Amino acid sequence: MSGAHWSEEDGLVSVPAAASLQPLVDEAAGLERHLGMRSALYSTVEDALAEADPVLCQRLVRARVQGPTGDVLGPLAPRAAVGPDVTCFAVGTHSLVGSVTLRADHVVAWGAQESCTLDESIALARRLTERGCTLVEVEARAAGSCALVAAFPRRSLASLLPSTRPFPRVTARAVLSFRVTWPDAAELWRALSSDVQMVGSLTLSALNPDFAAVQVVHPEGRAALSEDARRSVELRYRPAASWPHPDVMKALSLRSTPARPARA
Amino acid sequence: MSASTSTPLQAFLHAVQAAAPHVRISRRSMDRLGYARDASAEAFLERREGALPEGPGAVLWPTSTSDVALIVGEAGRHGVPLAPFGAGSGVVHGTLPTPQWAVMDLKLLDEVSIVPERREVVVGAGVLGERLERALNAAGFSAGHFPSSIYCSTVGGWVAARSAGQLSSRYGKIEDMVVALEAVDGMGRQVRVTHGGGPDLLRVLIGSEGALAVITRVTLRIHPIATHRALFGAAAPDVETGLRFMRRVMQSGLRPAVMRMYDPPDTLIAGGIPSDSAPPEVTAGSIGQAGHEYPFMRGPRNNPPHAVEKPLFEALGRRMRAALKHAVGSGAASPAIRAAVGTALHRTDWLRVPYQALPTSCLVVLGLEGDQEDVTEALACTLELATETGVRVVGRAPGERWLRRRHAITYKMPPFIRAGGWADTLEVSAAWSVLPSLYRETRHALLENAVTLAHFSHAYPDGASIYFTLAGGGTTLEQSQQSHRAAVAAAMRVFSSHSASLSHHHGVGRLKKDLLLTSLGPGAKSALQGLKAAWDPRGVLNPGVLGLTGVDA
Repeated sequence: MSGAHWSEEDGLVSVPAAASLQPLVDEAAGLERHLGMRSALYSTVEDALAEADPVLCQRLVRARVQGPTGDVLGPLAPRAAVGPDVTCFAVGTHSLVGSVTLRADHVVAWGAQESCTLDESIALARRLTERGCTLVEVEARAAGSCALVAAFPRRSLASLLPSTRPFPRVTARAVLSFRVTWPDAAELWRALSSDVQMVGSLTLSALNPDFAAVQVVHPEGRAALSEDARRSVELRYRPAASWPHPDVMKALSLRSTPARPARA
Repeated sequence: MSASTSTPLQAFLHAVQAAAPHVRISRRSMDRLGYARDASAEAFLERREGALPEGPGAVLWPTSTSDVALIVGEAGRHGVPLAPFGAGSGVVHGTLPTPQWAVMDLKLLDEVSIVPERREVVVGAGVLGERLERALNAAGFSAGHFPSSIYCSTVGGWVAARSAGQLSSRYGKIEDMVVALEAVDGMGRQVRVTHGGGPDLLRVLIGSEGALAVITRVTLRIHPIATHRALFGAAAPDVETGLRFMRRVMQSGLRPAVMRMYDPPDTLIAGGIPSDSAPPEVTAGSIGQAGHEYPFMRGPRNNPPHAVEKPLFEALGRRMRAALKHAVGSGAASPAIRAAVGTALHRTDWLRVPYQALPTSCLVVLGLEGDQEDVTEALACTLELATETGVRVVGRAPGERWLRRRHAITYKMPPFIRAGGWADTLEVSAAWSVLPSLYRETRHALLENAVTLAHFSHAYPDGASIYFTLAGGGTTLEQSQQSHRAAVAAAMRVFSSHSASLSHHHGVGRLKKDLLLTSLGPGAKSALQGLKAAWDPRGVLNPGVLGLTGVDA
């Protein structure tokens, strides 16, 4: 068991940050819910947060961050941040995160479509998200073809996809993750597929009607790509904030993620 | 202006004028008075009593981000506190400048650049909401952001205070819409922040209320104007049933543009529950634009009366409002009227019995928009959920009435306040499971000091917000202030005990600064101070807001 506490009424799950992610994903599936993913791309919740995984971060409602002089813990409410959102330092840093609360959405039916082009898949993924689907995954297939799976929160959406049988997802770990606006998704996918053709495959997860996550995945995770190569790709495609992060990190006694050693 | 440098403010103004002569600067008392306060409840009381503050020592109008950078840099060098100012519609004392301060009005940062292929708009922080929406509408888009203050609030203010619009359940709060922003930190350095790897610094600047940086330009997501809509009313037998219906709607993946439920007293104010049961239908036109009508048209003052379950209450309310307006007239109320209103509202626990006599039914207003297929499917699903949860559809009139009146707010001091009362609003978000008790206990806690109405809106899959409208009184300014503060404190204690947010979209300001630290835990103070030290090491940006101190204000 993951040590998770599920709130059926609120559609939330609270869990220690050190919890393994895959058992949590499985537990959600057993409750006819999902955490935005069909299989975990990180080994623990903490890892996903440290790597700023867009899919998990999109579902982060509350985090208990251990600051230099005590815990910081926001209210347990939707859009609860007031003032600067200090708990955002639970993401992309090595700050100590005690526990987190994530949104876990209902699934009443599944749908799938195999063999469509990248552009068709992305357009369909966006459309499904606009209609209310909170889990839509696109996976690369051979010869430039893609396949799409969606979780439906209401049955009346099921007619939007030809099949009700989702194909199994290949177990893998994330090598690189990017949060992008929908218009950028296809371009980034194509650029990454040429940049990292030696490793892994590509997936896309819908985040909301405005944003998606494009991820490079591989069974060995980050170890599949050297740290230098990974950073080089990141620098190319991830917009760098012009603000000097280290000042903020230092002020809050936090270390930022790039110092992290590669791990499987 | 004199070149004298006898005070830090004068030296600062001299330096700015020397480096950027095109930047307009005013030290006229009327200008300073105009920037002295926001639109908070206590600012209204001060104005009513003629207790006018001096305001800032000077007002500056930068025309570009570079101007802002220069002004902030000089303020830092001379130790002058500086408050960025949008349109002054804040209600939490976000702006309280003294004569040692300078205020920087950002309304000349007025760029609106639409990028249709990316569905984005790059907009200057000083652009008023109405102007942005009109510009987008002309190009076939909408921001989907319609705060009640859309005529008198700016994009920079929205971002700085975490604004929410009336269609937020479909289009999100402002923090959901921001793609990138540009700002000037407390050292006068220009920064650009986007959603990148590592900590999301957008989430640090959004909601920072001018204490960490001055937001100068924002990139927002925009949406093609919806082609179809369905707008209608429903009646829930009680608050709990209505909340269950709203939760089921949101957790079914539906994204209604409008879903708001009025509590029993507010239901009466909103026109009551009609007896109509005509089925809602899908029509052409978006909710934001009200079909092809003028998008910001204010509704007629006299709407057709509905058959209400308790017409007596509504008639009584109308008579009371008319009598008050007649008694107060257009000027200040007579001392006798003020004493009567102030005394009646100073202690309001006498309302306990009339409250209990109210009907329990709640009006729900629902609005769906999108393309025809989307709205048709969503409407069918919503009606099914209404039947399942025991909510009854009551025709289209409540929806159309809400649409006509949604921006019908007054810019004058209301007769009620001139007559000796005070009025304020508090907004809170919480998880679905605690909303019923949060509502009941907050109303109970407020009973001693205020008359309360509430509506539930801004719904999400995991919860929603409650918007409380409070009204109280006192026979003197001090008594009114005391009664207002006691009411706010009582509500905040209930919010905190339910792990609810301190605020959903009004911000923290100075009104809730102490509660902010309490609500975020023991590590919050050092974390927030750490942020302040990193972004604004000289402490010149809006010191005091969010409880973050700086140079002596």
